[in-house]
Amino acid sequence: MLDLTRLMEAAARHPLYAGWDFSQISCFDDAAWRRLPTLTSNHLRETQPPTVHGPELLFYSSGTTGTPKMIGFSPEDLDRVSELCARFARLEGITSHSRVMVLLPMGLWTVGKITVNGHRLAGAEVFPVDLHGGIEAWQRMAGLIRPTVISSTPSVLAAWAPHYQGPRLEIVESTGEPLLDSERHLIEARFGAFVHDAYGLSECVVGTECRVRDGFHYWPDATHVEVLEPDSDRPVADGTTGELVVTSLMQSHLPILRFRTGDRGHINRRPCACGHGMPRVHLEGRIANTLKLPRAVQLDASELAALIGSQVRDGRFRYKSAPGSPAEPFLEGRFRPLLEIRIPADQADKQESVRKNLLMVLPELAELVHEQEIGLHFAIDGEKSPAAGGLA
Amino acid sequence: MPDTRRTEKLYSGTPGPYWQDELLARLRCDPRFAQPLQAATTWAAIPLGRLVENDRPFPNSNPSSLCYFTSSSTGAPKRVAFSSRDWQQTIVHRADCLAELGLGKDHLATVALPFGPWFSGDNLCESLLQLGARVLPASLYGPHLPGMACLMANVGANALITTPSIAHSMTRFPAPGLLDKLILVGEAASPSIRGRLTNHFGVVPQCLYAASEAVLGAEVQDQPGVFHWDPERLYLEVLTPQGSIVEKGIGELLVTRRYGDAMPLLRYPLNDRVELLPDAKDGPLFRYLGRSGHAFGLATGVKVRRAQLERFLDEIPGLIHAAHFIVEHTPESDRLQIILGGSGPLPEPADVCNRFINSSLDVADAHRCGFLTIAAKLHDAPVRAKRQLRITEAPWNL
Repeated sequence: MLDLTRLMEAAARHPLYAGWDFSQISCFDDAAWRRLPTLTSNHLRETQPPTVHGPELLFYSSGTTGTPKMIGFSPEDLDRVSELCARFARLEGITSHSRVMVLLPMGLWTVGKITVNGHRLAGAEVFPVDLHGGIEAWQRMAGLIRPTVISSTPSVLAAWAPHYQGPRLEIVESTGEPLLDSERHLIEARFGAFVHDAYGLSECVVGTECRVRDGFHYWPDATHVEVLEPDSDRPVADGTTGELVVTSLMQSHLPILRFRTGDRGHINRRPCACGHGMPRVHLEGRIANTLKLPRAVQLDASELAALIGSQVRDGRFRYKSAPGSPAEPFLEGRFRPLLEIRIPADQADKQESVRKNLLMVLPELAELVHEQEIGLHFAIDGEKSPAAGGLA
Repeated sequence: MPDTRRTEKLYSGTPGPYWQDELLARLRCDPRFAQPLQAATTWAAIPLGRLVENDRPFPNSNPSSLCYFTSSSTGAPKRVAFSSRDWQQTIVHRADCLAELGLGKDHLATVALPFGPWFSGDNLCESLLQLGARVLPASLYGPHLPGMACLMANVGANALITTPSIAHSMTRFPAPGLLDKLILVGEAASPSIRGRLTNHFGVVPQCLYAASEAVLGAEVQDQPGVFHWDPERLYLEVLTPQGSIVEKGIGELLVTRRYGDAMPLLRYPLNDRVELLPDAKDGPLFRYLGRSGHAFGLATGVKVRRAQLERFLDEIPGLIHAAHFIVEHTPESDRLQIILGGSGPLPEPADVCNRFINSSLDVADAHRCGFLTIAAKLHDAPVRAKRQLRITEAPWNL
């Protein structure tokens, strides 16, 4: 991995960081580091990359925050990101006996390439399979490969799960988009395997779950994670929720420093029950002012949060819209957006009253739920929910 | 320079690559090859090779790291495995071929190929990176082709690597800027397609000959269909129609590869017909003649070959993505139904029938003598990376 000095040297040469003062920084704890500005998705999209010479692999982000962004990797950058993915794989229990079917988009997105390379580094036998062809093709490839591990996106896995015919797997890895509880239970039930979710962005890979599944472990020598107030560059108190801001110590070709992820979460530095000492990131959803529901309905996220909060203490929600390109063509008609509301176990009895209140106060949401344009699902913290899923 | 060590072997009367002893010694330690090689004391006695079956485990000493599948153009898809060392050696071999075709650090190359589970665009990307090029790994999905053409123009790509079918499909969209290189892989490119691509992209296409199982070589400049191969890495022979294996002449191509732990190739038939040419000053050459193998027979004893069918399909106006030949043998005559799926303006069925009849004197003779009736159907079909060719020969019904 890169050290901070080399990363800042690379950043100082890049137009993205014109005007950033790195002179007083020797480590992430320096006050000068915290005074640096942050990098936004728009800034990254709008800044023209410098003309480069030498080998470079051009990928695109998935377009979660708007128009996809072009992200260039040098071969050395890719090697470092792949090494981090290999650490994920080893933590999950991938060995030289694992046969890994990588069911991810292999071109333009980074996720397929780094997943293949990471598992190879971890010693597994890897079968790259693109998403083309849909469920019938995936099933046929699984029959040929006889995998022990499948790595894919939650949408793809949830769509395939009801139709999966094959041996029990050892591990299912989900990556590339948020994994809802209902999807996790559906996937585990149908594939017969433990699901490890991973968290990362096209700009910066972050972490993965261990067997305890209490947050995403991340490696501080590869990714530096800060939590800032969503509307300013001020840090929040340790352990408090805010916007996750990441710095990649893997990429020097397009350095990623203090990148605002648009995700809400907090850092947990307490030792994990799994025995690994790495800190963990807990994700709590996207920072979004409005949720874009089907039929062009827009729902004010703060209003929804206030409605839930008025009835349950520490209640949370996550919304997942239909999968975007490139998985979308293969999941057409098989997926509907899902609004998942999490309620602490000690207030589980309030689930029905929350539902009634939401549907009464938000008639547009009620109509979408009634006409099955959107799924409304409740999850109780610390309790397994039925395998409902977002399947149409 | 010709490989003198190789020619020495030829003149000494013991044909085979000069490195045969080293290769055979290695393979005799491999449980998959030990038995067939036990009886083979000379190169000439080595049996024809085949891929290791899917359900046979690889030896622990040579673990496979990455697996793809063949495109199943010759039947069911077969597993193609690489150890880490194989993968690296394949990258270097392919990079050398791409360098011969003129690709290098001044290129921003779009790779419009499948990246899995079929043949490997991934390996090609890494070969380009090895040459210092910039790479856009566009992958392949029909509905995205117009977007890909725009993307190529936006990033200033000056090289495109794809299959002839896909390159031809892209002629429906505006040319994606000025290309310096157009490299075709994965299937043969007919002269008519080459001409259309030259007109559209403004550059003469060149071919890289690489099957799923092995990299073969780069096309020689100004000699379409003639490829240069590397005797340091490969040893090529042909199986003649008479059943003998020779180092020069026309026949089915047999490939022996010097590297490859996970899946060694020893006299492996690729189902391609080639002519192994006399060595040129830059090394050995071969000419690609089409897919080998019998396609179907007609009542008059006429044997129609796959290469013949492919040549017929290449010469049809429009682009044929899928072809199905159904032969039914009846007491009165043979009935051949040709079902073609394609895009672009397609010819009339009668024109297709006439073209097939006139594709060979034997077929024309069978038709004119009343032993063969032909019907054709054409329909729109989605773009495919490689043309699908199916042949159904109904049992004799005499």
